[in-house]
Amino acid sequence: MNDEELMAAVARGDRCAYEALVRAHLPAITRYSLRMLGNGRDIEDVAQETFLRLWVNAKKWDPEKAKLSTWLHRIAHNLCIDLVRKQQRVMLGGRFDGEVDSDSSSDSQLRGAVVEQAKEQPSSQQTIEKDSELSALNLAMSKLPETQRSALLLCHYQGFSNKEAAEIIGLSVRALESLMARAKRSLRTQMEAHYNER
Amino acid sequence: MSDEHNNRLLPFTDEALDALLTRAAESNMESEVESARYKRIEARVLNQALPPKATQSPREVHAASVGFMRGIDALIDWLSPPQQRHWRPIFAAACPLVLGIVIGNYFHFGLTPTSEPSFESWDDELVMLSFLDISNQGEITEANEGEIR
Repeated sequence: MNDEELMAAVARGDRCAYEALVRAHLPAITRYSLRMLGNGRDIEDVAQETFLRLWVNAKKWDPEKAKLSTWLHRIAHNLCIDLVRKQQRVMLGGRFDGEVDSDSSSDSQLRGAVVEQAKEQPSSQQTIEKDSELSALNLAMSKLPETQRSALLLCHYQGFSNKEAAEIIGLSVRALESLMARAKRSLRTQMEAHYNER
Repeated sequence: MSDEHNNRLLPFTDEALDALLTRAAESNMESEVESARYKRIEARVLNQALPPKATQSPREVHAASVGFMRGIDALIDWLSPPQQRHWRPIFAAACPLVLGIVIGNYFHFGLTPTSEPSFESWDDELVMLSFLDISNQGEITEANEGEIR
């Protein structure tokens, strides 16, 4: 059975079809969440919530508009972004003793919080990587703003085309390409610094 | 100092970055190490309490109405394409015009052409009408001649 038939069955309440879809798509969703959020307990919540939404909203999925993997990644992406922003608010609230509202703070403060978060909570990849180049790349990736990071992850790690990645993030293809260019420029700068330090 | 290290002092190129990203994507370290954790996530997702599917009301069950609504939805989706298909709404807007021309060519709705001679301009037609008026008046005058006298 293909995704379309399985989703039709899920819409009718078929639990076996749901299990088949989970087994087919959970690895990619877990990998994406892991790379977006790091090695926290949140990835389990994201995976669970993503497939709960698949069950609830199975009827709303239109195979002509998007592939199922694209649709699921969009759900997971939105959940990850919500979590990252919530963590940023919590960190900023803690740092400024609750006096500074995250919405009114500048981008540089937000970015600083993300970088610090990446240092404080190293991802599983960072802790286990033996290859220093890959470790440096992972660290550089964790310092990128979340939209740039997700653009790179979707296109280079998850194997989506630019068009599909743009659909997932909710941008035009041109905006995604611009985002990728900025992300790569930032990565190049950080990798050059890494090699020069060695 | 090795050649590799010397090369690294050069600016980090796009190609080098793409190659590194590809290598990072291909490395499945986390999936190998995290297989136990993945099993736990899978079990959690599979065993989560799923809400029951809402039962359909008799109205929804009615196939014709469902089909009609789907048709309307499909039409609206078709008419509002995401990008670069703006010919669709234009085509839809032009349809009534084309249909009107086609119907007008086949049916005349009682507006059939008469055997009366056509005139090249309104002036000619008015002149001819004025002749008709005079002749009618003349007939009436002749018919009522006795009464008038």
